[in-house]
Amino acid sequence: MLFNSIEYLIFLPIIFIVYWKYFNKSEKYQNSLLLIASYFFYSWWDYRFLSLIIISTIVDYIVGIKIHNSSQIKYKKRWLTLSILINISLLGFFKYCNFFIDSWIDLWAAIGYELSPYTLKVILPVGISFYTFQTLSYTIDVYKDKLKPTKNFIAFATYVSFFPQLVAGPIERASRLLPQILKSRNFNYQQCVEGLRLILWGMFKKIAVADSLAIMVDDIFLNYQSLNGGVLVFGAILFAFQIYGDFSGYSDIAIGTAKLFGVELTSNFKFPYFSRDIAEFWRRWHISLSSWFRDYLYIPLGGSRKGKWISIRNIFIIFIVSGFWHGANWTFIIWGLIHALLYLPLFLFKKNRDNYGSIIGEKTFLPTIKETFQTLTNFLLVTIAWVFFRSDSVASSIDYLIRAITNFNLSMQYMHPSGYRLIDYIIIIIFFILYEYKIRFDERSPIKIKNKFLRWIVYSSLLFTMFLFVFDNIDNSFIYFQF
Amino acid sequence: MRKLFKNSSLFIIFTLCVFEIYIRIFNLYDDIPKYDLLTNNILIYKPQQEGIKNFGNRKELVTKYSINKSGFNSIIEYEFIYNNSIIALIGDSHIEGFHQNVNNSIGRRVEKKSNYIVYEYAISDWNLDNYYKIINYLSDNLNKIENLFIYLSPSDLEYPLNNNLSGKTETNKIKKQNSSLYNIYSSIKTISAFNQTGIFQKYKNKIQSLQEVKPQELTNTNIHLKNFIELNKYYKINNYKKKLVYLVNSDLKFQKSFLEYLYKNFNVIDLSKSFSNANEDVYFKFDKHWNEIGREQVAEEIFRYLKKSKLN
Repeated sequence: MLFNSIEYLIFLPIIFIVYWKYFNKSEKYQNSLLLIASYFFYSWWDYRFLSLIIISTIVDYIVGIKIHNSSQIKYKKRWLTLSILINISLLGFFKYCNFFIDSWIDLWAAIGYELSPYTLKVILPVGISFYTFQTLSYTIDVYKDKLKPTKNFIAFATYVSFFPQLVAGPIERASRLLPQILKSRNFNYQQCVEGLRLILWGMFKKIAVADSLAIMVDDIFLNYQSLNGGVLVFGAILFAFQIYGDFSGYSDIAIGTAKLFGVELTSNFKFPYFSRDIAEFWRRWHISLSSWFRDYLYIPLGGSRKGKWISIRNIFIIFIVSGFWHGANWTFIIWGLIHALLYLPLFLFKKNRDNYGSIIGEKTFLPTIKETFQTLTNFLLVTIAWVFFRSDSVASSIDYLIRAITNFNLSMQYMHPSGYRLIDYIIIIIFFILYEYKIRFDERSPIKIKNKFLRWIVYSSLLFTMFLFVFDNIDNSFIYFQF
Repeated sequence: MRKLFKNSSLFIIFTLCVFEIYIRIFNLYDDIPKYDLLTNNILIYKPQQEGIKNFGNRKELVTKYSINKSGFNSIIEYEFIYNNSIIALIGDSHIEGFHQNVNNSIGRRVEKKSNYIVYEYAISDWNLDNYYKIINYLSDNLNKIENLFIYLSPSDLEYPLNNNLSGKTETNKIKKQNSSLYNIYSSIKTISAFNQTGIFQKYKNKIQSLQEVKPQELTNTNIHLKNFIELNKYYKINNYKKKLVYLVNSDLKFQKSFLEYLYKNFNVIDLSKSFSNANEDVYFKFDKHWNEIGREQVAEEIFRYLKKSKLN
């Protein structure tokens, strides 16, 4: 079920009303309803893959208890290994099986041996990359004694499958989400209103920004060989906004929806395109994933505490694995590698924390010239990396970038595939950048206007803008569903 | 929770009002002309209506229409009193001309190139049965019409004779527009504007398919030919064979057997060659109708045919 669908617009109010009106007696009732709703939400896509969530839930519920009850470290380690093996195997099989088979065949082909291809037609279950990581964080935190396991199976299952963040994050830590699930939630009017505002803003980003740009991005990347360099640069920039609008829009809708049920999820995006360097970018982009890799991979590998070369190794591992997490294609690995190469100089020159805890235009209304230059440079580098993320193959990514440079032309001869005016989209992007700059200090309060009438005009205007950009001829499922 | 529901309800009403204001200020709605019926269930528009049509989600194309006394979108009246030779152009939405200003229709373009007067008989969703019905309706004046150009698309040939005779589609349209729901629909411009985005299209298609005549499934590779021959026989079209010219685009999904029969037995203008020779797209990108270039190509083909037949 997509957030931007009529089915969801019917589903959400029903669950909301039933939750607060009839299931409000205790956390047990609340969680039971949320669990049923979450399974129903997931089954709308494909009920068969519900079994994978249930397997992951049962395994990690049992493992959590077993780890806690084991007296010896070696038994704790065995249980943890079991949890990791099962979750990673599920992820590995459904997501990476065909990639490894194809890569193996390509490797032999490169040295002149033709192997007969046998690729399984494996469907990628929606959200598998997210919920497996979420359950792994639970068992790892129990193992590290950061968290006591719960014996409340319904609460645990609700934590794993909580529908607002089930299919595309934020990846929630058990230490943050589980205590909220284990407690009864009380209706809070202000929390609900904030939730609705985030949902509205998220929908705007998804519909008016991401979806409206998608058709041009698809067209430009498909036909890049016949387009001039100026259009290719335009296409890459459009993709940068498309993926940001899509993913951060989804996160906002997820956080807003969770608020409607009295649950607070972590922020996942904090205006990453206003970052002044790559290190800051990764503190603002897909925060739940980058912090997951930091805490469960980077730090256990030694982080930056075991000497320069180990640190460099760990940086490369983190970024490459992060790329690989996004998809079973070499383009994602190269994307991760590019970010590692961009991050490394900052780390070596100890500049990776220069902009920690601050934001562009912190003390001034407008950014300084230096900040503007840094932000634009960073955006350019990130956009170059996005070309690999978006393209079908490494070869086509390189070809795209070479053509963008060698064939660069300021005359942008490009026509929207459906004949719409380009200026409309440029206006939307400019408005979007300016508005995001205005609200840059608080990503959880996108619409903060004191006057009620003005606030309602802004809400209506956002809805009206969405209405103007609604298409019925594109696949409007979220980009990150494929991960 | 009551406060939330109260404020949400008020907000919904407020938003609908704001939408209505924005849509009226920016003219994002279509004026919908009302239908009428001629004898024998021929669907036309109610005479003497004027309005504006919008195409594209953000008014990429805005056009004016004007329904004449005969019930068709044209700035001229069909009075058969002119000294110039008259030709009739018959078809569906492609000929109807809502995608251009009424004074710039295909008919007017042909008139600019020649000495002919062009009467355009076209209504959206008309099929071959409707085209032949209008020819029969004009039988008393056919001696004054030099040529009858009929634009055919594959969907026109998917309705068998028996279904068409019921007149169910036409009477349903009249019933619908006389209903109070329809009156509400046409006075609330927000609904019309929403409708144009296509957001309700799949639900509308499901409802319409339950109510109206269904096209036949094309499992039979001769169904186009079968329907064509049946309809020609019923309406005695062979009587007008000399005046009839069919406009087709053979790149569309016509069945082969039908096209072969048509070329062999009737006068045909195939638009596919001239469309493919045009340097640019002949269709709107946000719509499947002919754009400026497409309409000019069609007018040019009709003019060439008329010029050639005059020389012969």
